[in-house]
Amino acid sequence: MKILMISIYKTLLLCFFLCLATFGLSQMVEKSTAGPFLLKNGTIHTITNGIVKGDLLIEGMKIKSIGTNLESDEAKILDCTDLHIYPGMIDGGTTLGLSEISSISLTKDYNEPGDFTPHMEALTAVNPNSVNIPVTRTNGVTTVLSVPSGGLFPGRAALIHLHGYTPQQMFAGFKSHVLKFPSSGKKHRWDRRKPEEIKKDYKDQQKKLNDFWKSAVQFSKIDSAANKQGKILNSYNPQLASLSDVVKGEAPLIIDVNKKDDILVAIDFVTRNKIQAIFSGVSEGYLIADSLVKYDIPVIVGPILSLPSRTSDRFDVAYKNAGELLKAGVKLCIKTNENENVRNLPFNAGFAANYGMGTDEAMKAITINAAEIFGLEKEIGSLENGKKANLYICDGDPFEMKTSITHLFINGFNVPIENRHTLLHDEFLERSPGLQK
Amino acid sequence: MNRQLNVNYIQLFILFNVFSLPAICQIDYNTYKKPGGSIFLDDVFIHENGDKRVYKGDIIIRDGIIEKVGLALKKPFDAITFTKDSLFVYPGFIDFHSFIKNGEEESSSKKSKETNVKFPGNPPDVVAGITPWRNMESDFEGNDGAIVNLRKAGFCISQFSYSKGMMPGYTSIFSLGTKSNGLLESDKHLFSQFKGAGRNYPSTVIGIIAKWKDLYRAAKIANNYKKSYDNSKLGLQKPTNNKTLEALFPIIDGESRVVFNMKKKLDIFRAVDLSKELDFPITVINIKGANPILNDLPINTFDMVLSSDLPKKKTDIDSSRLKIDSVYKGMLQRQEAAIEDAFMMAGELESLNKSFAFSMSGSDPNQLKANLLEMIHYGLSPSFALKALTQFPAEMLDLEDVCGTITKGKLGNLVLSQGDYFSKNSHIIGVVIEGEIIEFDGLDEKDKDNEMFKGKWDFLAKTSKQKLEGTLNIEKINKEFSIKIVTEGNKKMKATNVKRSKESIHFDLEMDEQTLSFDLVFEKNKYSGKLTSNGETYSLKGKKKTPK
Amino acid sequence: MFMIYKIFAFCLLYFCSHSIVAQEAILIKNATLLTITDGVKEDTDILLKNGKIESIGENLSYGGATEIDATGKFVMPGIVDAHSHVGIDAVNEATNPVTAEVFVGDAINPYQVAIYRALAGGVTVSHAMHGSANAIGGQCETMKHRYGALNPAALKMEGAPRTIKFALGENPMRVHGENKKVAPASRMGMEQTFRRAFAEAKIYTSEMEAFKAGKSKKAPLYSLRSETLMDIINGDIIIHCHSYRADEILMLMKVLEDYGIEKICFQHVNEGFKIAPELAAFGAYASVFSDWWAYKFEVYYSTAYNAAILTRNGVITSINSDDRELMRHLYHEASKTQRYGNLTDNEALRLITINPAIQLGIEKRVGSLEKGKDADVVIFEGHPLSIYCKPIMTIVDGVICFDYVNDPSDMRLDIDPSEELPAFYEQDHDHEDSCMEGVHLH
Repeated sequence: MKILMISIYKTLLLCFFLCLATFGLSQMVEKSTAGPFLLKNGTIHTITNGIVKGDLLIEGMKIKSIGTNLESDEAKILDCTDLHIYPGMIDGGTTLGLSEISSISLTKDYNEPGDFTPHMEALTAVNPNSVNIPVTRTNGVTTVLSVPSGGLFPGRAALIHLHGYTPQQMFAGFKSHVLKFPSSGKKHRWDRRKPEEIKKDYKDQQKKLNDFWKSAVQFSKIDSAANKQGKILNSYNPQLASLSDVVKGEAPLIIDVNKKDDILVAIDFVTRNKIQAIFSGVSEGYLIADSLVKYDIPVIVGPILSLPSRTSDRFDVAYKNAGELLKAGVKLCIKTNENENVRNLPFNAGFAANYGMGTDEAMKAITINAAEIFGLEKEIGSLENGKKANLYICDGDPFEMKTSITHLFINGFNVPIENRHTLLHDEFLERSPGLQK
Repeated sequence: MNRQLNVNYIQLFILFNVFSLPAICQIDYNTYKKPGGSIFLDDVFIHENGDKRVYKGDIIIRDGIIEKVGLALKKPFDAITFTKDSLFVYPGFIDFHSFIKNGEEESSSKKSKETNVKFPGNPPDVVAGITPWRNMESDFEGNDGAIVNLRKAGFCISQFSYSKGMMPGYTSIFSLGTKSNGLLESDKHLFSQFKGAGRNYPSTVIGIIAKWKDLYRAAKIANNYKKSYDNSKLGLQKPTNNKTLEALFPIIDGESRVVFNMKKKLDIFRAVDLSKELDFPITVINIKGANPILNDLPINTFDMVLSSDLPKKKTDIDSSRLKIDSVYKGMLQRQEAAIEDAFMMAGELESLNKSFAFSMSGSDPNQLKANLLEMIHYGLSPSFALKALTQFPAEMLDLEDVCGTITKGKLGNLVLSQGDYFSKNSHIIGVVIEGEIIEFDGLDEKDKDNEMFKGKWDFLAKTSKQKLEGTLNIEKINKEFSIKIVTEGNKKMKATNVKRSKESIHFDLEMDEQTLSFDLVFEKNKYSGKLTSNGETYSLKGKKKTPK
Repeated sequence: MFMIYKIFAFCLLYFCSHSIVAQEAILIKNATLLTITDGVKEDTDILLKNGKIESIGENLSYGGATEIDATGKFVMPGIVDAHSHVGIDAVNEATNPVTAEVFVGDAINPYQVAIYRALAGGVTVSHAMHGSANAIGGQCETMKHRYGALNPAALKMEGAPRTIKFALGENPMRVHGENKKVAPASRMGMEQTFRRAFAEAKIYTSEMEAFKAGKSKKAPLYSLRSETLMDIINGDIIIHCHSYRADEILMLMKVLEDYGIEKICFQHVNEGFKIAPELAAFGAYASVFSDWWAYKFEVYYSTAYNAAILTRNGVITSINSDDRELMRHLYHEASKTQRYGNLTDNEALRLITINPAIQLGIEKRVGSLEKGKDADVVIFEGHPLSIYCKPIMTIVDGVICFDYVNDPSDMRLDIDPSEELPAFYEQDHDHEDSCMEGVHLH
């Protein structure tokens, strides 16, 4: 305990000097510190094993143990009396790390021109030093899916933890190709295409998708045959090659689809082609939840804080969608579709909680359920012995805006609750000099 | 050909050698003078106006003007008699507003050059779409396609304007006769609309309204100054020459009014509010879908001109979906209610005793009658409908002394209808415009034939190599025939090169890289004809499929 | 059919209630009143009559009033959004850097369902603004959310002061400098654009005054633009200036000082926190986002603590939406200042009630629960600053405009007969600027 307090003082002092030294820059975030850490007397929200009052020991990158009266000689001790410990939140769809300033296209790395770019790897372009990352994690979001977008097959999304110096250090162990499923709806409010033009575009897109898929299947067969016979394919075809595991049903495919009719077509597409599918968006999912259950398709719902898709819809359909899907029995997690404001994930979940989902289920959706959908339920998503130490400590319900996040651990590192926003706050709250010259 | 040349030589000869002679001496032997000094309509059913009718009456028109209307009139010796069974005669219809494309269609390159100004925020008035000094006087062409269509719908008089920008110019009123000298009034109303100047100022509705206020107030000051200058020039600078502002003087002086073209119903409020704020009278034209807001509009403070266009009734209702999808059902019901609302508006206005006219600038004249019949079905009375086509627009155009009723002394403008115009089966066989009889040859007969072609027919075509069996599907889409063959295997083939005459249709089908040409003659419920392929001819025939 | 009937009845209700003042009285019983200006009152009643707050107190009764039992519920004044583009058909006259003469109030569209959705989030008044394409944009409209009225004029908040949109930084620089290759293309050019506009307006006015006084015979060419600019100089129009960077904000305050203009509210003002003392000293207001940042370079150095820092430094601050989605949960946006800056409940609620009302000059009418103020109130289940709250009823001028329990879902007022079905819109989550709506850059 003492040790930690001292280290906090040290940190504060350092921070103070740092602020002085970098006056006007205010963007250096303090370094993270390695464990072991012993969190004492906290209210531990394990998610999978209920709420436990007790201690949690972090060693290396993992949760060593959860229990009462835990002790450790080397561990820095953190008194968590009156504080709550939660597993880090997981966002099922962002562009975090892939974009810095959205109006400046040269800082945007999530899209390539063309419909068929499945060989693009999001992880390649993740910038570990994006200013947006500390801003996100200090609200308790430790893990996000960074998703490319653009054409039909924009590339492969990657799940990353929001701490590390290289993309590989950040990589959380899940990747998935993305398919932007052809939409029969309008793109946005300013979409001036006539109904017949929309129909035509939709048909064209469908055809493109089916043709490309057919080629990918053919390629995969030829490739397998070549492998069996020990032959090497004498052509470079990264686009089709990258989908090989997906068409074999051995790798997942995230399908971005929203409109009811399109979802039904997408269900047909995945069952016909035996795809390991995860649907994403699904804004009209509540209308056909039964079908999603029937074909056992997990979904990434969101953003919860968004407008209804039709002018005739009730005002709160987007708030309620997740709750209705859950009630029907759909396995789901939540996404924000955000970049610089992925930090609003707890509030998206909070709105879903308030509009039908309930707090516990909404919390599960952004922790263990997300982990399950990404096949990482043994590693992240809950507080259990042996799991990765991705967690945060706060003084109340993390969905409540009043609640403060006091500490953050990612990959077992104690990450300072600092980011550009807090640093600018610290510098400018009481400006000196004030008004005088 | 030779003769033609000769005539031209004669003309040239006359032009160059007898230049000083009056134009009357020029002769064009391609035309000839029609006999008779007057027209006599004998034993017709006269609708003098919306209320008064004369059964088996006569009309005499002389020098383009109605000389007499009455029973058992004596036929003038020099008259051409016009008589036909069950001929209904109505006052010539008056279209409150139409566009003529003449002079407006500029090549796109020229256009972009013109609108690509250095300071888009302060473009010349022409680029800004502000040309109130213009009128349509010199741009009328009696045989313009648009005018032919108007005539066929029964219109004898129309008010025209340019269509570009927020203030394209003044309107001109024309008689729609085939001669080019139909001008009745050249600067009638100032035409305006909420149509922006693209990337130039004003580009939006808010810019247009601000520009209106700016111009109008500036014009008011300029008008006052000009008056005091005209009164006494001593010690005064001469007025700044500004033809835009000067063109607004007649509005300020109450000599003319502004005609606002609306695109959506909120435009009505905007035009009315603007006219109230600046204090000038307006007529709002092409009004559509305004039924829900009639109670919110001060309808007695402005003239109303409706679009004759109506929304289409739903034909593509998915009845299986209707049963299971309550959301779909709800949407559809609201939509159908909105459609009915549109159909009811004219009748609603009649019940409020608000007179209105129709403008054709936003609608298809060919649809006029069908739409009127819908309006009548939804509450409009035929007599009010007739007034909206005749008397009311005449009043709104200050032409009540000239047209709008069949009255002695007014222009000889008549609509000649075979049967009651407001019945489904009647059709207009001609119009009289200022005494000029314009008959429409068999147009309606042709239309009937169109009906005959339409539908699903048996189809079996055999050549030495191919066999094609299925359904021949003839539809009319946007006045064009669309022909499809749907084979047994539900394969669809679309015909190309479709041509039709009165009773027969020609079309081509592409099959196995060969062209099959069909010529089919239709007769009530069957057809017969031939198929040509590779220089060989085969015969075929079929019957109309009866709907199950 | 039943639904249609309901909608029709609903519309009719509005139509009647807004053409005539609400006759009916509403008595909300046993509520927790968040008065904003007079603390929190528990177990208190509030009576709404003739469109106004008639009285606040315990055990009120009024014969014939519709009683609403609000035991355990919270009642707060209708939320005021100081920055939106909802309810108007044109946002940007993006052709000239100075378009003071245009007025979005000329293009009100009362049929936008976004107005109803704002009501469902407790917003009763919004400031429908011109966009930020021009240095001096158009005049804005302060709008009451009388959804259901079919006449656009019915939405105007009668008696609200005139306001106008100014804009600094990237947007006007992009539209004019970068795109049209005319000034202003830089923040230097921005300053001169304002100075020129004001200077020319003063010259015009002196010429016009000389003419009106009979000193000169010939009037200058009438200019609605100059007339409007002069109204700004005379203090008749409150400036609402789209701005981000500290330097440009200081620049404009200097220009205004030179022309003796005092009333200004900076909008967005993402770097306001850097110059909070200067803003406070000038008496300028700030209307900010709760947490938007980094969507363009001029907001890269932002902090979500902006509202808190400004408030602590004495700047009257509000939180706005500028977005039809955010507009539906401004109560949630305000509550973020508790995570980012530890504002008290009342400080946070002020950001969306009385403070924006002050910024719009309508604080005597709305923004708090006080006797005599407009009967614009929202009933919440749960405290409005909690994530677990729900607006369940919104009342405008004493008329219930949103009722969670009886919401008819399809609230469109204007049905397009030619549309197949109401269109589906893919979700596009784009922060970049409703402020730039209608601007086509190429």
